[in-house]
Amino acid sequence: MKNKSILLCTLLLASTPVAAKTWQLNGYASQGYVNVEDSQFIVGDKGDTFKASELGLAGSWSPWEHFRFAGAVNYRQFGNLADDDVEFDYLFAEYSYPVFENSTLGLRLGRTKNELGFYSSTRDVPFGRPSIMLPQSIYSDYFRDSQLHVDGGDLFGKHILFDGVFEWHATIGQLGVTDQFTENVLGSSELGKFDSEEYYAVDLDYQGDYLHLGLTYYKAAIGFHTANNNTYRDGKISVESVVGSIQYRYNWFEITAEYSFVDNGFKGIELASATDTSQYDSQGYYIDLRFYLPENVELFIRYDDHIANKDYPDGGNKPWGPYYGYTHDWTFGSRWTFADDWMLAAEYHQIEGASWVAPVAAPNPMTQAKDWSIFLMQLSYRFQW
Amino acid sequence: MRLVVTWTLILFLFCPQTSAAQVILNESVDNSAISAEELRLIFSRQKLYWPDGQAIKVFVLAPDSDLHREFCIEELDMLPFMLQRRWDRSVYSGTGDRPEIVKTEQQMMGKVRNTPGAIGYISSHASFPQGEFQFEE
Repeated sequence: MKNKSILLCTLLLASTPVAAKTWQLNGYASQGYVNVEDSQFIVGDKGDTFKASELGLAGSWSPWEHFRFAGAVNYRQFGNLADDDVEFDYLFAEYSYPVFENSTLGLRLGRTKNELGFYSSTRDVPFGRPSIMLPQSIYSDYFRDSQLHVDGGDLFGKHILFDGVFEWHATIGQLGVTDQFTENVLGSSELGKFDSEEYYAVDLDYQGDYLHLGLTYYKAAIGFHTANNNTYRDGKISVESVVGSIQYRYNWFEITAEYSFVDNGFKGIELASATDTSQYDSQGYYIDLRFYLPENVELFIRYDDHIANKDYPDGGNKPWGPYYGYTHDWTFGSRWTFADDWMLAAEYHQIEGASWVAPVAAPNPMTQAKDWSIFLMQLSYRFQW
Repeated sequence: MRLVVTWTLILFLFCPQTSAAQVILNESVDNSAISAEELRLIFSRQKLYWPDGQAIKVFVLAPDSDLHREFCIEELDMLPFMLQRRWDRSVYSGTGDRPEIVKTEQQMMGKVRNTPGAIGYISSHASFPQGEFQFEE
């Protein structure tokens, strides 16, 4: 009886303003500067740009135990790779329930983030990614639409294991393919339209105190409807991919590596007829060494390697020049969280090759050198309500 | 690099270490021992339910406050930015919420006292009548 009285008092008090909130808001804003030498990647023919802005607001509301509603709205522009646009990054209803002592199972319905590798789900957030520009061998900006979010269902589980957390997702739905994807692949959205047809993914993730492991498998199909039969045919791109990820942290030092294998299937589009097919495998990987120094300073060095077609690692099949078949990117960067909510980041990419330079299906070797470089700076602010 | 790490650790050791933080719990929580690993999982919002199925509500002080920093280093054995990184990953992927941030220790005590399933921390010299917490090293 006494216990019941205590519980009742506690619950009554819980409804007063001093109890926990049922909602929370988080957000960020960033402004960047990009300077590119010997390429029109991101900056076009101007050589540099300040069109690198991000603004996001994420909210969640838990009106009843086990239920949660969450949504995020983003504004983003990134040079010629992403025109300024506002969209829902995620918007879903979630039900989760504890199972046994250390497990939780749940389901999300609506628009959920795409969990691919360590960073796809937070790739647009300055505080959620390791650098201003992610390693393009795995997180290509031209292919960003396909890694951003999924409209459908996400069945997930969370299990406490070996003092860490094992989390899994089984996702089914459609990707959010926009006109920007068409521009980044073909060079113009006037030439046709890509539409997501199907998407299935399984993501496994283990986060311990020092070790972080990840494995993702996904299968996606994107249909193409031509607007001009003389240039491109109706068709379809089918992609099947595996991404493996590992991160180890020891004191002030961290090493991260991710590997991606992609089986690309094409029907029609740039082939001679709408029924012709072709297939090739591509791969990418990166290794990132990172040092956490005093005064909240991070320094990193990263090698990022991409091969567009594994049968031609030196790009011998590319009519525009062999360097369109691969990319080797050495990145040197730093991030400084100079106040709790403020971060200043800068990085320099020394690059050989152009396999992920947009538009990937219609390159211009007159403006793209084999050896080129990118310098980026970004100031970011976050708030937590 | 080794030199930098060594000097950083020496500097940290010689920094004045004021009193540590103490964990506080709502009375609805079974206050049997919680291991350091569990505490880390709770404050990084990865363990979401108590063993009796009650949802865990986590409260922290402002991430730039001295007490939060002390709590992260001494009780969680984590640097504050590591904890923040885990919250950011949950929040911006939509998969979870970060802890609720309160402004003062008084507010922290009020919230923990009045929220079933709540856990938070205050400085070790402050007193919190409920939930005498046993920490399992």
